[in-house]
Formats: sequence, C-alpha cells, structure tokens
Amino acid sequence: MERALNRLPKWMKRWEWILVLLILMVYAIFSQLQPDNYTLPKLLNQTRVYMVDVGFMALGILVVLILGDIDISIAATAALSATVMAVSYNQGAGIPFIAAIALMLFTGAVCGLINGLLVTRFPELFPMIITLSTQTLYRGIAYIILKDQSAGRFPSWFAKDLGYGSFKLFGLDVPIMLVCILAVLPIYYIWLHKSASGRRIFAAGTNLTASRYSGIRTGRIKVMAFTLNGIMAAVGGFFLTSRTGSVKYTLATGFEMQAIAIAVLGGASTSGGRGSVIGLLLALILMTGLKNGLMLVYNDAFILNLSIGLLLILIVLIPNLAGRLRQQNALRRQRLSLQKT
Amino acid sequence: MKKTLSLLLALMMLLSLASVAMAEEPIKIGVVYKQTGNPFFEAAVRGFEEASKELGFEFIHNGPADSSNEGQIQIIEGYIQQGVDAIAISANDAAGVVSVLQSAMDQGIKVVSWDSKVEAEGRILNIDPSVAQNIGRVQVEEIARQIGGEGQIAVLSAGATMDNQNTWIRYMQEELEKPEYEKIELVTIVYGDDLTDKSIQEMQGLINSYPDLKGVISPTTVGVAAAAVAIKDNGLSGKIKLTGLGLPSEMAEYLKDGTSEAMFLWNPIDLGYCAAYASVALVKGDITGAAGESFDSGRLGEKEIMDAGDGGTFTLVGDPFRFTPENIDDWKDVY
Repeated sequence: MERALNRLPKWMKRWEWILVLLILMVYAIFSQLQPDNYTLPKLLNQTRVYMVDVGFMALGILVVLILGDIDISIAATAALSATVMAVSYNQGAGIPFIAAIALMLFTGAVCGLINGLLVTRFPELFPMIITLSTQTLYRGIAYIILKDQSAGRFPSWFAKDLGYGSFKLFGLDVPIMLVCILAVLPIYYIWLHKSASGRRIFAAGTNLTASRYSGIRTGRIKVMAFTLNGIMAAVGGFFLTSRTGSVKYTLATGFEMQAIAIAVLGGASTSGGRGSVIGLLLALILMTGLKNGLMLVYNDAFILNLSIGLLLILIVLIPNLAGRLRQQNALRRQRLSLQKT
Repeated sequence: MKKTLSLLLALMMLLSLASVAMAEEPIKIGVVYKQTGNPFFEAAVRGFEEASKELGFEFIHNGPADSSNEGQIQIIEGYIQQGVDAIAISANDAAGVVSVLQSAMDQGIKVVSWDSKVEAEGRILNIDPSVAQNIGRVQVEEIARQIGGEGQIAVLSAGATMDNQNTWIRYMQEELEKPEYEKIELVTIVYGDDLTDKSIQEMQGLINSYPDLKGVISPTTVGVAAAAVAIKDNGLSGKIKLTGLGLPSEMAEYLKDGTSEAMFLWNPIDLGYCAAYASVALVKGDITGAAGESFDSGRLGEKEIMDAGDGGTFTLVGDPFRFTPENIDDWKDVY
C-alpha cells in the first residue's frame, strides 16, 4: 500500500508528460493538414470557445472527483444560474447587473449545496443517481421560468467586451476570458496541491473511513466541495452566456460530460484520491487543439463527437491497460521464480 | 517542466510562422443550419450547390448535432477562423448568435440569415421564404378552387399562442373578406397543438360537428398530415377537401389518393439558392443590404430588398411552392 502510494506521484508526472506529448502530436498533425488556419494566433482566439466555460466547470468537478463523488447536474446548474441572472436583470424589478451576477452565483451555490447535503445525508444513494435527479430538477425549474423563450439583452461590456474582447500581448490577440481562467488555475493549484486543506481532500478521497477516524470532517468537506462545484458551474454558465448573449433553458446541454472528461483526461480518477490541476490545464489545451483541428478538417458535428469519444476511451484505457500489463508481468515473474525454487 | 514548456511554446511559434497566407482565392461562404441530418436543410444545401456552379464560389456547410445555439456559435467561430467571406445562417436562437455574428461583421464578414432569422443587429440581410400575407392568401385560393367557391370550411391550426400561425390565419380571414369568397363560410378554428393525436381528435370533432363541411385548411405540417389521416379513416377522401402547409414526404400518399388535391410549403432549394446569390452580391459589394436595393438572383430573377420592420432588411424568395399529385414524386424523397 505504501509502495503504491509512493508510486502515485511518479505516475502522475508521467501522465502529464503523456499529455504534453499528445498536445505536440495533435499540433503537428493539424498544422500540417491546415497550415493556414491552424496557427497559434488563431488557436489562441479559439480558446474562448473550447477552454473557458468548460474549464471552470471542470475545475469545480475536479474537487468532487478527488473526493470520490460525481456530479452530473453541473450543466443544469449553469443553465439555471444563467436563467436567474438573465431574468432578474431583464424582467420584473430590473435589478442592476452586478446584483444579477450575485444572484446567479448564489443560485449556483444553492444548487451545489442541495447536491452536497443529499449526497452526505443519504450515503446509501449513489451520487450519480442523486445528481441525475437534481439535474432534471434544475433544468426543469429553468424551463418553468423561461418556457421556450430566450432571455438576453445584456449590457454590452458583458456580451461584447467579455464575450468577444481581447487585448494585445506580444502582437497576439489574447481573449479576456482566457485570462480569467488562467488566473483561477494557480489558486486551485495552491489550494489542492500545496495546502493542508487540499491534502485533507485527497486523504478523504483516498480512504474516507480512515480520514474520518483521523479527525477529518469528511461530511463538511464534501458539502463544501459540492457547493463550490455549484458556484464554478454558475461561473462557467456566466462565461458561456457572455458568448451567446442570450439564455435558453437548454443552455450548456451536455457540458457536464465534457467537464468530467477534461478532469479525467487530466488525471483525475472517478474512484477518488487522484486529480491534478496541471493535468487539467493540459487536458484543456489538448481538447482545444483536437476539437478545433477536427472541426477545421471534417467540419461535421457527428464526426467531431465520434472522434472525441473514441479518443477519450483510448486515452482513459491506456493507463489502465499499462497497469494491467505490468501486473500480469509481475505475476508471471512471480510464478517463474516459484517454479525455479 | 518549465524549460520544456518554453521550448514547446517556441516550437509552436516557429511552426505557426512557417504558414504564410495564400494568394487570391475564390469567394468562400460558410453555411450554418439548425441541425445536421434534417432533410429540409439538405435540400437547402442543394440550392447552394446549384448557385455555386453558376457563380463559382466555394462553400462549406455545417450544423450542430443537437440543434443547440452553442453548437452554432462553435461552427461560426470555426468559419471566422477559416476566413470565410460570408456566413449564411438559419438560426436556432435569433438573439443567441447576435454577438458572435457582430464580431464576424467587425472582421468584414457579410452575414445573411435565411429560413429562420437572426435579430437585426446580428445580420445584414434576411432571406424570408415568403410573406405571411402570401402564405395566408394561397391557402384560401387553393381551398376555394377545390370546393368550387362555396361551402363551409374550417381551420385546423397548431397552437393558439403561436404567432406565425395567428398571423397566417389573420391574413386568411382578411382574404376571405373579398367578394369572390362571399359564398365561403369559415365556421371555426381549432387547435391541435402540433400533436398528432390531438390534431386527429380535433379533425374528428370537425367531421362530427359540421356534417356540411366542405374543406379544411391546416397551416402546419403536423396538422395537415393528421387531418389527412382522419379524413381518410372516415372514408371522406374527396368529400372533405384538404390543403395546408405540409411536408411532401408525409403528404405524398394523401395527394395521390385524392385526400388532398394540393398543398404548400416553401421550396428549401430556392431558399438556399437565393441566400447564396445574396451572400455573393454582398461580398462583391454589389449591394450593402439597405432597403430599396436589389440584386440578381439567377433563375429566381431580380430580388428587391425591403424594410423588415425589425430594424433590419429582408428579401423574399417567392410564393409557397404548390405540391400536386403530378409533381409530388419529384419532392417526396427530397424533404
């Protein structure tokens, strides 16, 4: 057990190197296929489509995954929070936009809190089933509020400057959105990998019972992780809305799977105890490069989804298969040495 | 880690510098539709193909797999990246693509919406299939012709809250005011909510309540197909006449067995064809998209640009296409 734990950080390091290698491969392939369009400045511009909203959601879900839980209601949380923001800003009292944003974050927090309380109070139910139910609940509420209509008409700094604005850095156009997520990543890195509370999260995810006996308040940690996850989902919805400029109850459909995929691709394990912020960033970069490249080459939504799914299976399987192979080799060696004696 | 990262970045920079922009290229149009795999939009793409053979432009076409607004934005961002000259879009959310299309227009890309419009701030020109008034008028003309200009008729609509349905029905009522229709009586309007079973029930109700009913107009694809089923099941094919807006693939059977003599829908091929001609005219600078201008639209003739009343402009492709037992075979496999 101790040896396995010792080997874990090494494995993580190796995994991040695999991601770097994959990023280079993807870049090499697509820049050959699309030399005019698949360039660094243009890719930088595309980060706002593929990196930011999903990135925030992935950061939120990462902590939940490290704890060994899962939350598939994040996209619905994003939709409901954005709906609350749009409706409270536009209709009825017509509150200031900043207040609408606060309401949106609050909605996200409440959605996450409900998930967290349900998961910790009813440990006999799978978090998957709980959040599957809350997912339909949250999206259902968004539908009741908006029906089939969409709500929009946001201030121009939001829908134009934040959504499509960029600034010059070394002659490159850097989207403002990208800076927002790049600013949050180091905070998550320090919190999860360098602080005591981060270590407690990893400990609770590795062995819940042992952590509880050693005095870690695992229930509270879980509720907090789910609440934060809800807030991050709302933030993801916020950035997505800045690009769409309007909110429908279907906002962000399917984004929960993308976010979970990014976190898992970045080295998080669905059985808990594993996860990496750097891995997550690399996974985001890899997905951006891959999706944009496939989009340019095939220009077909079905092929895009299909290839991404195929690659995800492969990428998740590689470490699994490698581990199994190593195990089999070890067993064979053991048997051989037994035969010799 | 840090060293390799900087090395990596430097490598990326070098590779990107190696790519140099190409010389003069033909006009490139990016077509966005509501969803992939929809026969209606596949037919519209055929219109773009036809126009591209005549005008010599290139075009790419794509739609999201899930009819989402986000999916359309992703496609539009991809088109901007590829440096298209024009974007022609049928929008899933009229307000939801305004920002991204504005950023496209900031970069000199011409934006045309067709079939389903984008709000005025996010487009240069909208291509409408037909005016609401025409859609109402042709259906009244058709049912009058089928029933011989006299008798009771009814309307089987979709939802009472649907604006397009209400607008068309209002124009139908206006048309029926004309002296040539004075012997025609519109007895009632019923709503099937675009649900097949409810529409069939409503049609059955009409048959039971109005034994002298001569004709039915159903300006919705679900309703007209449901009405055809109910009329046929009651053995009233030919006795109660039927017209409306229907999909040829669904209505072919009923046109052939005489349940309906003719019905309408706009031609998606013409719609795509006209959107292509408008896009090219905008890119070439022949038009700016202002009301009062006009552009050549190939086999569809000269098209005039008008004020749409929503702060933007639009042009019309033509009247709704009339499907009859004679031409339905050409269309039933199309959409």
